[in-house]
Amino acid sequence: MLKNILLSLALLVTVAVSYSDSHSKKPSDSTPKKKLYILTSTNTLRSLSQEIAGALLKIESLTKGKQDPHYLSAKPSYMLKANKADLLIINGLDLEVGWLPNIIAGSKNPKIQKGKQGYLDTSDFITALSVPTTKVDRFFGDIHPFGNPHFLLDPIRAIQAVKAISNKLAELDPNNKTQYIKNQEMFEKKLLKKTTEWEQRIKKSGVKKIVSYHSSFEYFLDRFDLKLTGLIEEKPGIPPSSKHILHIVKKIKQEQSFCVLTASWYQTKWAKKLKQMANILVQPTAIEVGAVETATNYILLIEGIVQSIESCKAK
Amino acid sequence: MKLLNSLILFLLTVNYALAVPTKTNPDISLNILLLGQKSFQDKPSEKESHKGSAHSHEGHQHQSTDGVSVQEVELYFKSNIDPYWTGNISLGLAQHGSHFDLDLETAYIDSLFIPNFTLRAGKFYTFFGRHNDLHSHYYPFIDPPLINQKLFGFHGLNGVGASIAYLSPLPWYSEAVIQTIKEEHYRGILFLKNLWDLTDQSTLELDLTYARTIKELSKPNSFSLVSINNITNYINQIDLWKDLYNLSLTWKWQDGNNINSAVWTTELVYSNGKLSKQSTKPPRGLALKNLKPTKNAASLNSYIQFQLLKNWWLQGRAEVILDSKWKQIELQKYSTLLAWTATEYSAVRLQYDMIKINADWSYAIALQTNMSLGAHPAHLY
Ligand SMILES: [Zn+2]
Repeated sequence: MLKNILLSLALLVTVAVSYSDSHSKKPSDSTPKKKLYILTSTNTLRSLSQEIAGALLKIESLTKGKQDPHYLSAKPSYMLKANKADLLIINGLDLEVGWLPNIIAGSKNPKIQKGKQGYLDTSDFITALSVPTTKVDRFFGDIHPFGNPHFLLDPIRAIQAVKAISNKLAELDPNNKTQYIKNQEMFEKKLLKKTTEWEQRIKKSGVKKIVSYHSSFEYFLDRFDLKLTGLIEEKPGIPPSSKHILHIVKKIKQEQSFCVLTASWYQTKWAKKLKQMANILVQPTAIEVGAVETATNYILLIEGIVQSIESCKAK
Repeated sequence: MKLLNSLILFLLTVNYALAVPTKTNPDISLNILLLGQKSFQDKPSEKESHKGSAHSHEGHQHQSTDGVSVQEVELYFKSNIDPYWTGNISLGLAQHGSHFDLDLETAYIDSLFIPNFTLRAGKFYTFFGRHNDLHSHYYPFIDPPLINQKLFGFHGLNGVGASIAYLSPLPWYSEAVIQTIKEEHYRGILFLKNLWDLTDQSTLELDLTYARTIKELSKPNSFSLVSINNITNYINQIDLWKDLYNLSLTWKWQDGNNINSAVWTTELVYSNGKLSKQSTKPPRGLALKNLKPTKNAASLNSYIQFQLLKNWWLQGRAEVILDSKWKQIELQKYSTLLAWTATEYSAVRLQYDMIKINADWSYAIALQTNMSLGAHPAHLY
């Protein structure tokens, strides 16, 4: 019985191995080389990679734009995608810590293991903010122990991440190196120009302080010289108590800081309370490409945040 | 003395585990399960009360499991060793009645360098349906399914051995695993896992397991590192199985943002044949006291989990074990569970059980706290 099962399994393995071999060895000199398959952890990284690769590569994201990248399940179908990937691009700084390690382990793909050529952690190329200098403790909530991972909302840090991506693509696909570098330079130029424009518009809006739900906007505020009045969530990952909401309303009134931004996926129970208590309007804002219909690419994503700030002023 | 040394080592590692994480340290986490339990019995039938005195030599079996106890403290290390291997170690400290046991639960390495294959060597929980390879803090209910307890005892099916897993290139997730371990006896396991995405938010999983006792050992093995009392005086309440079959089907639905979800799992287990040697493994649940090992047994268990709000879970489970002739229900158990998970790191769970063994009903209520410290816990699927 056991012998039979072992035999049939061995047969299955042999068939499957030869099947996958015949597929991977297909490209010859005459047929065009198969497009590299790039997998990103977030949809913003997918969009940024797309700016560089255009139609040269197949790029997919594990997180859909409307999903909070802090929370995802390590679905086996994601492992299947990771199994086929030539490159995995991640945000890093523990943003994906709850789910990505299991996907990488379950992928059975040696190419994308940490430290291998097909693994790119974009946070390795930026300077992080809010890196804890003392012992971290979850009494203070679900803090990210290596620093705030939401750095892609800063266009200048996004440029650094894009450079790392384009270098990696050039390394894996040297035939198209010049195209990747050209695209990267064009994107950088466009984004720098936009950043100057956003700076001016934010200055013109007169808004100097922001209230936000999670510390998602830290890098954005830092870049555009805005101050944070306070966070709605009591501690990272911990929803606000009524007491905390009262406290934040008091602070909003004291500091005359009426611009409240929140990622579009957070619950809005507390937003209704702010409206009732102090007639403060909350702006649900996309912080990932694809989180709202209009945020179809990176520039439109940041444009949306800038518009939210401008509309704070209009009220 | 040996115990004291181990405890000191354990506490030192715990202290290390809670220091600031760095980018090169292994992921270290500590899980603490505390359990308070109270059981009630309907007036026992005459047959049962006679049995009581006759079986007084059974020692721990008749000790009440009521009261407050440390269900388990588990220390878990996980790290890539290099780009070729990853390592996994877990130590468990559990209270068995009046004493504590420190166990090396798992210590294995997995390969990372062979496309579509994972080689594993070391001590590990084998696959068997949905449950056996779970660590206790990931159990969907406070206790494992009865059939798992009946077949594998307190520690589950766990031993030193090797395993090969193969992920097929089929368009859906399809994995085949062959495992062989030495625990009480030499066992072999064949596990097939298939999972389909029905929609963006729902999946269907079909798992098939075949387990076999390849070779009986005359002197059963035990892996307890330290034990204050000798646990081998537990009498045999575990089935001495030869062939086991498990078919499990799971449907799962999750909304995009982790606020609502639902899981429905149904498992069918069939055990065939019996070994000659006695088992030494202690069973876990209070319900198994009056169960006799059987030659053949079949079991059906089914449970459903609802995540009602982000932090609240409501669950139900029904289990039946049939006798060897497939005619009589030997045991049935119904459980409901309410859990409050304030964050990903803590859960407080209340479980109510109704258990019918032969003709007698008993009831149990249990409150468990499940806390995790250190490295971020994984969102298992
Ligand atoms: Zn965050």
